[in-house]
Amino acid sequence: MNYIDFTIPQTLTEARDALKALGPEGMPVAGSTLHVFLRDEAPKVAVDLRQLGLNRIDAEADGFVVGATATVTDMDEYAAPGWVLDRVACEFVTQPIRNMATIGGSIVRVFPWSDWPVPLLALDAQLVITGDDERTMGSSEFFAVQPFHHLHPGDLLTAVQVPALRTGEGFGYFKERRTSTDFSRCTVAVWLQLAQHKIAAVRVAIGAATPMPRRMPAIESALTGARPGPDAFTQAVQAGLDEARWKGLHGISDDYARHLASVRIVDALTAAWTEAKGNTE
Amino acid sequence: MKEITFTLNGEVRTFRIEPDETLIDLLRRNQLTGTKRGCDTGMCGSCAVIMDGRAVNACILYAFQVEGRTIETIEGVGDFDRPHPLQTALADAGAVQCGFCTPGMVMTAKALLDQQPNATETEIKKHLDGNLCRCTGYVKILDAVIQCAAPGTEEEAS
Repeated sequence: MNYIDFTIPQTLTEARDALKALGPEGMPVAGSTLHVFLRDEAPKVAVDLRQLGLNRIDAEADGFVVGATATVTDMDEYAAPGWVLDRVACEFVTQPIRNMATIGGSIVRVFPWSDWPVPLLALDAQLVITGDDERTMGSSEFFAVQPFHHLHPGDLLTAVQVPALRTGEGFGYFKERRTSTDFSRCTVAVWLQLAQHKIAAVRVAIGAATPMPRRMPAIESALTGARPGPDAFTQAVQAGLDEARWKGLHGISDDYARHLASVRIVDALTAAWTEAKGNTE
Repeated sequence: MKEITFTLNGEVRTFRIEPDETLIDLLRRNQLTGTKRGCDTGMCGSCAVIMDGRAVNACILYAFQVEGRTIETIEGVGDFDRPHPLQTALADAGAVQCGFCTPGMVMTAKALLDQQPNATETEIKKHLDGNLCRCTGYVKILDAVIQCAAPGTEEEAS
C-alpha cells in the first residue's frame, strides 16, 4: 500500500472525523495483513484504528460482541460457553498473522477465499456499523455485496455480534487447504438446531469453492424439518448443489470444487448434528 | 517524514519514518539486520519480531503501527557471547543450516515460551506454523524448541 501520510486517532470520534475529512483518500488500518493484496491501490492516508479500544470480546445475554480490532489470536484464546469462533481462528493462516489480523479487516473487504464470512453467515452474526448513527446489519445483507460498499465516509465497522451456541445446537466448520499458508480451496460452516430429533433450523454457508462466500438456501430448505442422518444430508446436498456457481481456486477445476464442497458440506452437517445431539441441558 | 517513538529491545527510541515504510525497512536501515527479509508477504516468518509479547511479521507491519509499542528483535535476545537458551539449543541440535530462517524461528518460539513456558509439542507446532525452513526439514528445530519448553507437560506425562 502506498501511504502518503498516517494518523493515529485516540478516540472513535477522532477516527471517524479523520476518515470523513479524508474521503476516498483515507484508509482504515488495523492488522495490516490485508495490504499485501492491495499494493496497486492509489495513494492513501492511513488511519490507524488500534488505539480506539475496539479489541474487546464481551459475553452478553444473547451471545458475544467482538470488537472490530480484536485479533484472530484474541478469538483463538477466548473461551466461554457457546463460543465457537476459536475453531475458526485456529485454522487461520499462521501464528504471526493470527497475532496481527483483525476480525474487522478480515471481513470488510472480502476475497473468494476469505475464511471469516463463512462462519459468520452460518451463525447469522450481526455487523455493527458506527456512522452518524449506529446501525446493525445481518450477515446475509452485509456479505451480499463487497462489504466496504456499505460504509459511507466516516463510517466504521465497529463490532460483530455473534450468537452463542445453545442447548440443542451444533456448529461444524471445515477449511480445506494443503498448508498453513495456503488459501482455502473450500470453506464450509454449518449451524444446526435440533428439536424432537428433527432439524428445527439449519444454516449452511460456503466459501472459496464459489466466487464469493454465500449461504445455500436450497440445502437449508430441504433439511429443515427432516430427520438428520447421512442419507438425508447427502440427498439434500446433491439436490442443492446446482443453486451455486462453482469456481475452483489455485489450480483446481470447477468440477472438483463442486465435488469438494459436496463432501465437506456433508462433513460439516454431520459435525454440527453430532454436537447438537450432545449439547443437552 | 514523521517521528514515532517506541521501545526497541528495552530502550525507548525515536525514529523519523516515511508513511509507507515497513518495520523491517526501519530496523534494517538502523543496522538491525538480524531480522531477515524473505517473502515480503508475511508468509515465511523470517522477519518475525515480538510486538507486545506476540510474534508478528515485520515485513507487512508498517513502522507507524509500532508507535508506543514494545518491539523485541533478535539483537535483543542474545549474541555469540551470551546466546539465548533457544539459540544454544538450536545450535546444539544441528537445527541451523543456512541460518536464514533462524532469527525468525527464535523470535516466534520465544514469544510462545515467554507466555507458555511449558508449551506442548502440539502448541509449539501450531505457533511455528508460519516459519518456513528450506534446509532442515523441521525435525531438529522442533526438537530444540521442545527441549527448551519446561518439562511436565500433559503430552510428556502421557
